[in-house]
Amino acid sequence: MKNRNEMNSQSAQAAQSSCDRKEELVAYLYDEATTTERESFETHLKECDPCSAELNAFGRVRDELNTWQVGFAPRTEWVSPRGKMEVLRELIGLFPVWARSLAMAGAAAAAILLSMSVIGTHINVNQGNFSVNFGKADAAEKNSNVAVAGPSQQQIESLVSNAVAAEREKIQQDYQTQFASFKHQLDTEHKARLQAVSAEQQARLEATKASLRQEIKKSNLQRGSIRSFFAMEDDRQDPWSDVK
Amino acid sequence: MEISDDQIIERTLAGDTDAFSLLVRRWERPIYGLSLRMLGRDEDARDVCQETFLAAFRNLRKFRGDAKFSSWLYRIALNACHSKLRKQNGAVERSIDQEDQDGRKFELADAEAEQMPDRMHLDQRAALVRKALQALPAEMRQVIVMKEYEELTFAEISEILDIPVSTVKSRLYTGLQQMRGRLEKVRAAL
Repeated sequence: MKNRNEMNSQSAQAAQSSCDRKEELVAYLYDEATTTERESFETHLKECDPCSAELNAFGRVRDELNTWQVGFAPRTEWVSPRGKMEVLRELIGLFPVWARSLAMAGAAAAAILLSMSVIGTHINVNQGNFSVNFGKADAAEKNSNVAVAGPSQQQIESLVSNAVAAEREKIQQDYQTQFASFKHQLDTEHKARLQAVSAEQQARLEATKASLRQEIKKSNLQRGSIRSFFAMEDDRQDPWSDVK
Repeated sequence: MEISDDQIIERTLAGDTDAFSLLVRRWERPIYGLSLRMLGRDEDARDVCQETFLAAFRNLRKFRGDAKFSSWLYRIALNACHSKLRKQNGAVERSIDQEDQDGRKFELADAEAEQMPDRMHLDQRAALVRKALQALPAEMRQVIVMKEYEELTFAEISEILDIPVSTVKSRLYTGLQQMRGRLEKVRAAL
């Protein structure tokens, strides 16, 4: 065994110092040489012992390499990753319908506002007058026969604060009216309920009284009967008085 | 008639994402084989396999039809293997006399060693090859794996690694020489 190994080792050393035709050798080894290259290399092999020895050695290495075979490949668990839109759609689906409708309405309102800003819509509110101009400000002003002076920042702020105050007052009034109405309704219901309960209790009391009176009357009658019975007894002569 | 890789890619890009599973089924075996022989561990090979297909799916739009899909896939797998090897921090550069990753020492009883060529069991020889292969530098190992096990042509390997065919041949030659040296060294030691 050792002799064979030594021989192999010697041949390996010899082969490593071979001529510089390693690319041709590899192409020949893996059968990727052209016909011309193959014929040329086969001719060379007859003359070159190191190349011949190396070719044989590489053949043995290939045999060794092929002892390692992969018997099976485990199945790759594959689930296509979902795209961002798909995930978003699923997420939206989790919300209730009303929330989705609200979101859509909000989005629509935002889109309208955005488009209005893009086309340059001007809304003027001035002392009860309300006007809407479409198009760029310059064009709108040029085309308009009536010169509409834009409100100043101060006027806008004043208008906004007035509107907010008016709205707040209106909300407060509404609230107070509703509160008073609700209170009145509660009071009425409460009173009616109290009256009903009171009448019911009164009736129940009267019924109890009547029942008690009846019971007393009955009891008195029974007591009278008992009393008269014992009175009779007292009047009667003792049947055993003579017996001694 | 079998549907081609390019047709499956077209279908996947058109929105039929489940079509990609056909590519997975078609290529999982070669990719697993390549990864296993590059890394030597089943667990790592499975990870790389999974990573490769996921990366391919995510970057499918970047795939240009001028190269074969399989070449592109092999390149992704090799990059994943190299990344894993880097993480292992040179663990592959160990001697075949050392313990393997499961802590087992590869050795044969002396009595058996005398008759090794006849008696050596195939899986022991395979283990020897695995160790010798893993001890090779990665750039040579990958060429041997692609040529010997995946049976790719020099031109295909050259395309995958983006190196000239002559470099592929030269790396293969050096790799085989080193394998020969290592295998003979082990035989001599036995």
